[in-house]
Amino acid sequence: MGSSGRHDGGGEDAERSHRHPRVRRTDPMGRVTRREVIAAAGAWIGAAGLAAGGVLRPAAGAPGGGGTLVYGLGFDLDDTMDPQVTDFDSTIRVTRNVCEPLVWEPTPGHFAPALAESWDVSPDAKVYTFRLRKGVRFHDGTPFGAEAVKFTMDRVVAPETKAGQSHDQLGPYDHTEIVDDSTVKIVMKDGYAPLLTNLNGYLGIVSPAAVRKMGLADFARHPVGTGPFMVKEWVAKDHITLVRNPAYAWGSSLFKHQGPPYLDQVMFKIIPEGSVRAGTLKTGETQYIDDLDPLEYAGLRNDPRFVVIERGQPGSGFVLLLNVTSKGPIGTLAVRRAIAFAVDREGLNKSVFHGLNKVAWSPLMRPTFGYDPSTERIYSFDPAKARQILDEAGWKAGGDGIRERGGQKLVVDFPIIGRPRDKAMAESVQASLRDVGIDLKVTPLERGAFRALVRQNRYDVNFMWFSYGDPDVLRTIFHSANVEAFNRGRYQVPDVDKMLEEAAATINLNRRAALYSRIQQRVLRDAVVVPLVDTITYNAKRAEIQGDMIDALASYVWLYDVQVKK
Amino acid sequence: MIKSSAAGLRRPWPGRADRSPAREILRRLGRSRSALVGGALLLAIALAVILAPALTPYNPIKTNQRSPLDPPSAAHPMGTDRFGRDILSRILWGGRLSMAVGVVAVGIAACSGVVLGLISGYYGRRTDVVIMRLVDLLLAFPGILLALAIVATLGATLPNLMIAVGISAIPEYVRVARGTVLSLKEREFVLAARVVGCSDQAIIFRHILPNVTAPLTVLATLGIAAAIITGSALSFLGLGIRPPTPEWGNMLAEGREFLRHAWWVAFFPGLAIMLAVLSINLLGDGLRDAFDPRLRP
Repeated sequence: MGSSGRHDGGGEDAERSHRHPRVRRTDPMGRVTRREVIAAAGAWIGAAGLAAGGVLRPAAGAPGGGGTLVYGLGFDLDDTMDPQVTDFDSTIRVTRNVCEPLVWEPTPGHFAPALAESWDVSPDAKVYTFRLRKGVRFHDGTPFGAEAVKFTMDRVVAPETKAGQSHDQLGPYDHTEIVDDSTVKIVMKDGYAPLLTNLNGYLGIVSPAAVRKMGLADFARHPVGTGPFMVKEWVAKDHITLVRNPAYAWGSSLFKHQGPPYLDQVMFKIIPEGSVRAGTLKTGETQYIDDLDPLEYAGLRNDPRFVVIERGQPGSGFVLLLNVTSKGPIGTLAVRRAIAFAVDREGLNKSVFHGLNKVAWSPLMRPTFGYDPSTERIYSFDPAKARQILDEAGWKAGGDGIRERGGQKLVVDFPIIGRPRDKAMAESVQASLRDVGIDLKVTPLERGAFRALVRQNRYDVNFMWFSYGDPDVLRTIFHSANVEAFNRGRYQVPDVDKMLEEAAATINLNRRAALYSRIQQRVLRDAVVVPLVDTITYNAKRAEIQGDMIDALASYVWLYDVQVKK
Repeated sequence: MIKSSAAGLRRPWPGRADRSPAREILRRLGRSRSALVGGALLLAIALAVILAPALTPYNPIKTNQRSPLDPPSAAHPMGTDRFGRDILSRILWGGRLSMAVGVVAVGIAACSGVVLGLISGYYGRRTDVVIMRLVDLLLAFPGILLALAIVATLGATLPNLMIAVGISAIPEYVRVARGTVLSLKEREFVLAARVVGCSDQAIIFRHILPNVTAPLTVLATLGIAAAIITGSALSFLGLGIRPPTPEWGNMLAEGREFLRHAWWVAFFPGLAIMLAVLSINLLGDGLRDAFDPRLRP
């Protein structure tokens, strides 16, 4: 089951993410710390008070009159609402309604106009030319134009901004060139095909006048963009209220209506605990929630009063990265291939994720551009085959069921961060491997100790998870330049490096797809990665809520078209 | 001053010299209903846990991942967990660890605590000040926090878990031992021992230590219950026990996620912890009554 976040570097937070990963801090299983429960209890009480006050009250006057939508947000914001500064996906779920980007991406690889009416990309993916929509105004009344685009992109790389994830999203940014008031060129240092997909929320355009006038700190509390909603108030750890922008007349052709949004207000309630969040939806205190508690899935699904929204995420799902440089048994191809055949992915999906994710065979999740379905035939769940491979490699069953060769036990070291979900996944893999005679030693560690082990290259296996809109995510986990970052398989193959670089530096889709297909095949044959599950986003809403759309990343929800049908 | 002698102290019930103290205590224990119930329950738990290999119908780490979370049934009286493992088997096997943590931790705490307490109380002055300030330092942190810090520092392994729980319980033993020494060291039998030329070591261990046994037995018994809870709490927090090894605390933690959907996963380990702790506490209460001469009928 997927979650609000984007990245899971072996269970780490992306405090030094290599590319684009956005931080995940929630646990997809809805398990929480006591502190979170207390915070959630507070939020719940808050939500109850709100319901008593009358949610969904019809507003006077038209257009609009759509009332208030209360959205249960599964994870709190970091302490900023500045899209270029934040590190949290949850923040963007709010601010993308306020600060619109140049283009939207409704489904992976398909783009729709937002503030740009049209765009061209040079064949080497270095120069992006955008023709901007005219007549657009920021919430503060200042006009939107090429200068605002340049201002936004430049502030990402300006050190004083202390940019968050936006910095990774912008890739090898060089400069922005203003051609005329409604045309800009964004120029990259190297070919960078993922830019369009990365233009989403984190690179939402901000009002230069507002940033200059308010300063960074104030702007972070009250961002100003061109979106259909404007920030009204932010009560820390409780809620954010957005109000309708009555002047909004530049909705994307992606949307079903034009003019201002139907809703008068959107309130994002912060409700971190999964079961509490589902509870507020059932009682009507919220009308839409993200990150549905998996245990609530069946109940809501079968209840006509609710709709469960499911969407597969793009990127790289939960995988095991096998350390090819290990001095232990896992350094050999035979053992790694045996593991690939031995892991019961269906069992893992059932026992850990309640069957709500999808068994994976490729390091790219299915909705990702470049996903190669033929990867599904490379491995299968076949313990007999795994045993045969190990037998042939000279690993013979020992007395305690664990195989040995020349006095060496078939032990594989798997340090993890001691979080419930990671532990459950590790335990599932461990059971599968024991069945074929491999002793997977799972050691739950505190975060610092875990990082130290990884830094010292003292591990055989690592978890990884990256949700990302472009297959370039493979560079993060397989390029030799990232061995000290998220390439935890410590995989260093010049051929693969070259293919990864070439695929990022071209916009020829056929060429890209062919390269990514070869890369997927290659890393699977080298058994440096054992895909476990593709993650799927589950949101839920009350049936009377209509018109919501979820984006290509299966993370952000468009609320502009939302209406409450009585 | 109370008139006393070494013999008198060892047998604190003058007038019943016909009975040895041990028999007297057993007799009193036998008359205490709570001690009997506690003792019987504890014996049953201990037997079940010790005989786990013979009693359990399933391998506690054998999974059946494709049919997880079976409710209690004839085949699985306590149901199965998320990996399809038999919870009854896991509880019996896990009890071995939980009980071992309790006993070993108390052993560590009592041995080191009593020695420190005796030394501190007997020598007094600077020795006393140094030891007691160290104990105050330990006391300054809540036991569970201290244990957590120790496990986090030493690394989360089972022996370290036992050490951590043990260290966090030391202060009580030091204080009890020290208090007893202070009340005894000026008495005639100690002075007599010194006069006849006993070494400090002999006085401490041969003459004073036996007088600490009674309160210590009570403390240690109750301490086992506390140590089981602390140990379970740490493993609940994910420290100390490596998967797939079952332990009551980590079984409880695993079940927390399913509380409303598969109650049996958390309920039975919780019940096991409760019964074990209850039985030990009942027995401990009975022991305290039996040892305390003031409660003599």
